[in-house]
Amino acid sequence: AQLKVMGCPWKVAVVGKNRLKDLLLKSDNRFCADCGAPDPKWASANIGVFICLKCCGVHRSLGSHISKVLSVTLDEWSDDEVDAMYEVGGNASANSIYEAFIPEGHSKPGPDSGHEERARFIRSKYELQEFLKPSLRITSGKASLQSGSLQSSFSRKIIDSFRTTNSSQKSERSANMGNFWQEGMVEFIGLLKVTVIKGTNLAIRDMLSSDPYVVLTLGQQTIQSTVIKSNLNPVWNEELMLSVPQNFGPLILKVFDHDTFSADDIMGEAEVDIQPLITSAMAFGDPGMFSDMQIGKWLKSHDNALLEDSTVNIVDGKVKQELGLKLQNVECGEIYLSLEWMPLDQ
Amino acid sequence: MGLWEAFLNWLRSLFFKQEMELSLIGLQNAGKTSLVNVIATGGYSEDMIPTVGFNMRKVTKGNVTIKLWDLGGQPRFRSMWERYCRAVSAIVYVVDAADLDNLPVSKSELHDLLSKSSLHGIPLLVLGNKIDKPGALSKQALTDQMDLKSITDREVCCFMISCKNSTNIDTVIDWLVKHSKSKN
Repeated sequence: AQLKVMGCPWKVAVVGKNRLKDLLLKSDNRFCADCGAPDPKWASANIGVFICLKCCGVHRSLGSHISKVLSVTLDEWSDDEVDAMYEVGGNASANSIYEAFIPEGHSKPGPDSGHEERARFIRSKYELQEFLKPSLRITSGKASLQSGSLQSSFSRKIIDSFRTTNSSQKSERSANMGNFWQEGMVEFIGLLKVTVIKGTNLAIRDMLSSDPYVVLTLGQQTIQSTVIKSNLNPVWNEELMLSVPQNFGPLILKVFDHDTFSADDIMGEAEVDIQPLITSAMAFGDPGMFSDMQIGKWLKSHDNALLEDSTVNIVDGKVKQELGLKLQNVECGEIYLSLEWMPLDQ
Repeated sequence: MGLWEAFLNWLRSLFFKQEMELSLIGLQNAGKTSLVNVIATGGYSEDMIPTVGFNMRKVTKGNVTIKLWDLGGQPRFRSMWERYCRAVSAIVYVVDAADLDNLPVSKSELHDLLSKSSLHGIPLLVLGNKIDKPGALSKQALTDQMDLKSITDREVCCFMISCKNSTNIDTVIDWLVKHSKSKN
């Protein structure tokens, strides 16, 4: 905005575009929000997601009242449009809303899915908004029967709810979502921050190596790490966020080998009981009141995937748990995680 | 058990996976972690380190999976017992039956806990542990000293056990299994 005063719109455009590219470089934006294809170069400016060329085609067919498609590299972006992208926070954040509840029988298309499948999913996701949290869906149920202008106003509402807090940085995302959930939604009790640290001795799925990535599932939500090429001992150090509903089940972790020309191969899985972390965090109330200490332990046994006993600790006023997991249903491989519980304030 | 009944039980176990969640509570060094170990592995160790916060582990007995919250008995953790007990099928309260000095504290901590409205109606199993030791109380004496008769808002049961000698551990497991719920 300062540059505008100096009368140099060209510079403004360059700054805006650089900010957009910064956002595009975030790990969750390295894959198409709709089909997971790598390196998306398109975006829906009003929905706030980065998408690939194939999905871009479907978005355009929905009409600009539902999705306003722009190229990251070829189009001019206004400051407001870039701001809106930041406010949504990227693909992971947007998908935690638009794909909060994907019912059984529906699955996300892959990078190689045909046009039919892709179009059906994208329409369900944005036009009919079938995968929103139920409490949001009640409102949208009416809207989806009516004209497109109501549709876009509802999309607007979703973006507005991201906008409820002042800052637009990704680090503020959890705070944004906290506000989002307070608007009449009581199903979620907090956020689980999973740091996928590393894998060791993973299984070989290609000729000599694998291109591993980690997929985490909690209830209906799924989130994945980046792919690391040709590495059986990958180091991710990647933070992934999941929202935790009232009646949460286990966190399911799966490791896959990314294949460009065929379906990805599974490289093992493991189940993590997140109850020790969450129950003990709740028992301690405000962990900021306590100095660093161990508050509990999940014991290794023959029917869980733990490599060794996993302790829950208060570290710098936060409740955290370190886990080493032996991957199951596979010949070899271990995955190391760190969990952090972030409660939604009452 | 008749052959037919055994067959029916086996058939039932194929279709009805039971599961339950339990909290183990009591003063420090009452034998809570030892009890978990005896139930889980049958093993007993004389020297145990104090439990810090809690230990959580799952134990499978037949078709019943028991999730055990073995809670630390030190005073600093006692205020948190209630939180871990809210969702459990039963509360197991372990008492050192040979430590007469600490019985009054054990009694008051138990009655404090049961006064919490969030825990209303949850079945209670009181275990007098260490009956292998000289001077250990009888079941009647423990029931009196812990004032168990005054607890009327829930099912209450009391057994005398020895983790060291595996005395009455089967009875405990039977009681627990009977209080498990069908998995949906």
